[in-house]
Amino acid sequence: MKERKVLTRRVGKYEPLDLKAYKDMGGLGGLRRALDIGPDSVIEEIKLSGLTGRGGAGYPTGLKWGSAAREKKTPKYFICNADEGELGTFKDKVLLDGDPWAVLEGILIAAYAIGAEQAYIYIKGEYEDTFNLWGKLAVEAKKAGLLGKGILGPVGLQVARGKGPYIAGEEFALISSLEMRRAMSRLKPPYPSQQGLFGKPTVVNNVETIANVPVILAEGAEEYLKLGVKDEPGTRLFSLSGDVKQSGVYELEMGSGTLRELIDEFGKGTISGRPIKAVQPGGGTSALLAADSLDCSLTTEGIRKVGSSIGTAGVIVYEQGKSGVDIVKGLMEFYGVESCGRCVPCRIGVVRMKEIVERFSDGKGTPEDLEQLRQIGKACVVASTCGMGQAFPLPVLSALELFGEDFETVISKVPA
Amino acid sequence: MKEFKRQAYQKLVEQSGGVSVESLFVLLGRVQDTFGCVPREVVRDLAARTGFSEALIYGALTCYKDFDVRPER
Ligand SMILES: Cc1cc2nc3c(=O)[nH]c(=O)nc-3n(C[C@H](O)[C@H](O)[C@H](O)COP(=O)(O)O)c2cc1C
Repeated sequence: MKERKVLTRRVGKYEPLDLKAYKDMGGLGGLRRALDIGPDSVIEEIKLSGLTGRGGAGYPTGLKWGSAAREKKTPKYFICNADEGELGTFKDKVLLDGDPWAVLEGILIAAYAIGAEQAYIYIKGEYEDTFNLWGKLAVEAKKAGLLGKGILGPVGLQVARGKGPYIAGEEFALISSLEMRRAMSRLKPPYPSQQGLFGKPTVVNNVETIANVPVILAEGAEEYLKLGVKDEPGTRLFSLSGDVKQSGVYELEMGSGTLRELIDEFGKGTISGRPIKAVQPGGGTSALLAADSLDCSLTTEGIRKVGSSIGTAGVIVYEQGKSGVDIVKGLMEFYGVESCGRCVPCRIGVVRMKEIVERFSDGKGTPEDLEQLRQIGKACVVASTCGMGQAFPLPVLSALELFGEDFETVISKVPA
Repeated sequence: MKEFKRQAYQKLVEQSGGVSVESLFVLLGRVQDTFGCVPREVVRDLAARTGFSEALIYGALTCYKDFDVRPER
């Protein structure tokens, strides 16, 4: 298996603020073509390319843009989601720091296509260096006539810095945050493309999604479709971490290998050399896979077939020697304090599940606890408003299924 | 608010292209990053200039762990 550098081909090859260097390497070709063919054809091109969201949900980007473009209400907004909050996911930072002009070019094309005069980039609070870089980048872009009253007509970019909550990465919570409210999710529909920021049509796209846009425009959807597999064109940036020797971000053509190959060839195996116990293929809220399910193809469908999801493509590896209880405790410690509180199942469920998992971790679980963990988890998945409540129980439920004996062992050792 | 702070605050307002509902979150973020907290005077000023109530701004600010409304100690 080999890396296929499409989005990452310029990363580290130029000084991040150097627009001229970016242009010399073929930059802004996508924007030029976009201006040539006009907004409607840009949206058609994105639809043709089959591009889907890289932020976790995998929604077709062209459809989202088309629906915002059709809305009559103005102004419209475009938001680039650089909150990158999911556990085990750190690929957006590579693009934001290493090829920022490509991300900006994508933002400009998106704003142009949907008719937005104001764009935002919402950068994870912890990425302070990235935030500072983007502040300077916006100034440079204005000087170059890309922002402000520039070649696209007026388009502004606000560089916002996240202020802590994980949930602010969820699109509606992000929108509330930019409206200077608490970061809280809400029921859909209406979708952001119909009623988003300040009630206006808004498109929210992940950084990696947006970085695909200039490539598609510059080379044409037909060229782009040659990458990857038929139902899933393009590449994905896999963030590989956990108990592997060599963690990092690797760009792979869709379907060009298996999960096991990724871990063995790029991760160079586990840290201790012990076999793998479990893997989360799509970030911290994706279901665990056991070691015998790793020969699946690295596509949405391939990973779905073995019972998990590709999500943010954040691959977290756990080696043997860790108990299923330890694994879910680490996860629940993180998610346990992050519910926005808008809907009951998530607000209460996440805390109760965290408490139960902690009891097991302290060696005090009971059979009733186990049953409750299952029931609360399932209730959250079906009854929560947004992706947070629908997903955080998945690793716990899969741990109970795959590594139930780790939990049973705790119960059996509790003194009567 | 101490005089030097007022000046620094004015500068942040200018950097954000003035005070508007559209840039309020970004501006308050800059205030936090610069002063280490969001001073009461800033909340009062922004409430008056955006039409938001002070309570609404406080309600939101205190929900984010990286916003601090207590004065620097
Ligand atoms: C709890 C939660 C957290 C999320 N965090 C992020 C995030 O940090 N970055 C991101 O791009 N999308 C995140 N998303 C997904 C967004 O809601 C949204 O689907 C995405 O930004 C859309 O962009 P895309 O279509 O380009 O993927 C999150 C979703 C949920 C439910």
